[in-house]
Amino acid sequence: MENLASFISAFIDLLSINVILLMLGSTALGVIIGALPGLTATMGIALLTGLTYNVPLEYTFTILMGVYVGGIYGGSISAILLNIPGTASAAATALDGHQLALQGKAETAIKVTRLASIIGTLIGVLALALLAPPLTKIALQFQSTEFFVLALFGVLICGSIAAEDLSIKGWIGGLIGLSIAFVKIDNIEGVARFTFGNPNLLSGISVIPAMIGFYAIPEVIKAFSNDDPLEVTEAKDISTEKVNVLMTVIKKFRVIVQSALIGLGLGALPGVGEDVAAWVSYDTAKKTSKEKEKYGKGSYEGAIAPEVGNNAAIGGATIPLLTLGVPGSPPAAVLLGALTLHGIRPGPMINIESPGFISQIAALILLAVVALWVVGVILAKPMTKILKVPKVYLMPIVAALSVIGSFAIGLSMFDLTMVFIFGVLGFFLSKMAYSPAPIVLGLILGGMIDETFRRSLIAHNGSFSSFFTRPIALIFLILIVLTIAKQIFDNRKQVKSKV
Amino acid sequence: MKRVISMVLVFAMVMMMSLTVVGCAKEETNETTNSEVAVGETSATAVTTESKTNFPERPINNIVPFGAGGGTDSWNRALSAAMEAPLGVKILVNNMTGGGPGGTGQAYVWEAKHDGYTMLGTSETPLLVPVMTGMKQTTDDFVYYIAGGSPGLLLANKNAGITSMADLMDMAKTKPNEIKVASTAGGLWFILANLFNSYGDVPLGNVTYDGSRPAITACVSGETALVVASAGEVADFIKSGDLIPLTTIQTTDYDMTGHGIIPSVITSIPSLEKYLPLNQWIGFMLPADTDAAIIAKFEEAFKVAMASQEIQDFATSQYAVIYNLTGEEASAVAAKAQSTMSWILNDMGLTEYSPEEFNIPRP
Repeated sequence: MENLASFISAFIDLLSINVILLMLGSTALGVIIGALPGLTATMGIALLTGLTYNVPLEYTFTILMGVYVGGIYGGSISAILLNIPGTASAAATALDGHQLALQGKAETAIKVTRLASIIGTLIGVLALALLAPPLTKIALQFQSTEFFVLALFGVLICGSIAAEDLSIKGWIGGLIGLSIAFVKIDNIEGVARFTFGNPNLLSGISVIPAMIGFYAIPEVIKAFSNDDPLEVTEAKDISTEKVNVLMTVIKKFRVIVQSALIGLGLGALPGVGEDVAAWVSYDTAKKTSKEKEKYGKGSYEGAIAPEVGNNAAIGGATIPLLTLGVPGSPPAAVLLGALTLHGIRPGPMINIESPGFISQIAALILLAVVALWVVGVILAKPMTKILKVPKVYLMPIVAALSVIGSFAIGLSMFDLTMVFIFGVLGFFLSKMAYSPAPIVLGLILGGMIDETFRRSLIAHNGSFSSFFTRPIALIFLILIVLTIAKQIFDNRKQVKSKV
Repeated sequence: MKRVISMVLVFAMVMMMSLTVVGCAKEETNETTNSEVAVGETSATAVTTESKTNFPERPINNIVPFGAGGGTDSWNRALSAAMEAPLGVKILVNNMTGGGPGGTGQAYVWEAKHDGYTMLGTSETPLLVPVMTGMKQTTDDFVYYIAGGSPGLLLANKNAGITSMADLMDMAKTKPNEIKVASTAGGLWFILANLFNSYGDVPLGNVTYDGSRPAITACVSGETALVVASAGEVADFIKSGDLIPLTTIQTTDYDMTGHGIIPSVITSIPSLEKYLPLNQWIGFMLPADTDAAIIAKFEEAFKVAMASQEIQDFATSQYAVIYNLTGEEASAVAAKAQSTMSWILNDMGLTEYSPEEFNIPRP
């Protein structure tokens, strides 16, 4: 109850005209970023983190949370109108969403997914506001051993899910990230590793420039080679069939609850984010549905399930981000960078060091939900035109924002160099179908994995026993073994079936 | 083909725009040099004292070599705000992290003009910049304005079965190096945590963390039995009973508001006395060859700030002891701390460069 009260009071505190206008603007920006193919929610947050470095804390997170919520929703618009998910998390929505558009129900489909997104986010934010504060108390019991297995599990699971073709590529990506994370003065012994005498590398590779490099630059380079105008369906209903949006959604109550729980749970798992939540929600909804045959042919249910799932994952992903400092999804990983940049150290101590910050973030997401409803109504029609803007005009802006944003953080030319190096590296990796998510997660969690492992050994006088005797650690250790075993098993099966 | 051309055009345009924006940030510093020149020209042969009394004419930059939200940062933000009124200009606080114990920020301030418009927020930690990074400047090259700092404490987790120094010393003798003390990975708290083992004949193991706060969290979680940190940072955990203060690593007892007397480490381990005081202190510094009139102007403003209610309240909220030192007194404190810290670390084999290379005397 106490948590609910502080959440509500945090929400009321937010209600100033500046914050509301800023939230409307940034949610709209998020929807556009999310809807435009090539610009993802993660990239949007990464770019804006750089650009908002000198903005006061409260406004910064208004902007970032607005873009986050808007971005995850925005992907569904292009999924419906173009059959291209604007953001990876909307891929499942395209299956039935675009079918509805082809049947002339584009407008209704957009309205239905909007409502589904709003409900999903709302459930996520309630979970965040109510569960996160008590979870910090449990998190205070976490020792290096737990952090090590949790972070390792995050990189592994992210790797095995994010890869487009072979899951081993996800793990290779994770290892690339881990290796990049080794470059810096080690925090335990104070020894410089892989810095090759370059003083700029002593404090490590900055996460935000690396992320801008990995997420934004490859898209810019790709736009040089490929610039087909997009086939956009008008966001108008041609079909004259009257559909009550509210009733359509409410009738799917069971699917909504089920998808929201899936979204929350998967979102809270480190490294597994909105996109997986959407797929699993869709898949589960289909398997448990009474109208299985309608899926893939324009079922409203099939559009609702992934949208509830991926938006609920926002709240889910923020829970471990704030209570443990372990991001639950790729966009949350960027948020972690933004938090540390602004002097907030998420983790078990967050309630003591920054009291009320959890409630404040929850309140911001709630405000973003309201903004999403307003913005969604306003943007639905002009979105068709926005989607027709060719990448030729879009990508230069992205390129410029990448440069300005990464320079603004540290006013350092070295950071800029990093953006370009990682951008080019990211381009070639994405050509080879490596997803940036495990690389970036590896980079972010690499320090934690390395240090907590060694610290755990130092604290226990060199004994490995704590990994087996501490229950939470043991659970995650078993999960790690199972993840690896499943991978080997699946590979064997694939090889056999080919033979 | 058209598409390619338009793309290149737009790209070039936006890049130009962004470069101008980026350039602006740089130009600011150029402007300052221009106005300097202008001032110099108009006063031409005029006596230099005249240009001195004009200081300050524009905002001053306070470069904090550590991250936002930490002790050095919050003290400098409070101090800068309190000094704006007496100086009559804005003081802009910028964080410039990196370079081990604050080397990047220190190098920036040293490279900038020594005209009082770029000051360096500091704590005792940047005193290790020479031995860790090889940069040549020592306390002789700077003047210090020392505001205050929070006393260093040794604390035990409530479940560790240690409630006093006597408990700890008994236990450490039976299990040498098995009782772990958490601390930062370098700087003052690391040195204090290792004093017990290196010079106090109390064999404790040390686990290092990326900052004081993770070290405290580790001790609260029970990963280590002990932690060394400042009173300000552990106050909440002492209040909640999660951590029990055993001793203060100072020469005198510390009367902590809301808790009571915490005994000095000398009462239990007298052999440590010759290594003390090793106190946290926070303030700011200027290159020593800055115009004397400007140094004096800062001193005046600093004294006004230190006397203000805001700073008094701030110090109380940080569980800080006020030192309020400037001039030779401050330089003496800085020089002594640099010598002790550099040589202790050097004796432990943990410095990159020998203090001898910089003529830092042995304590």
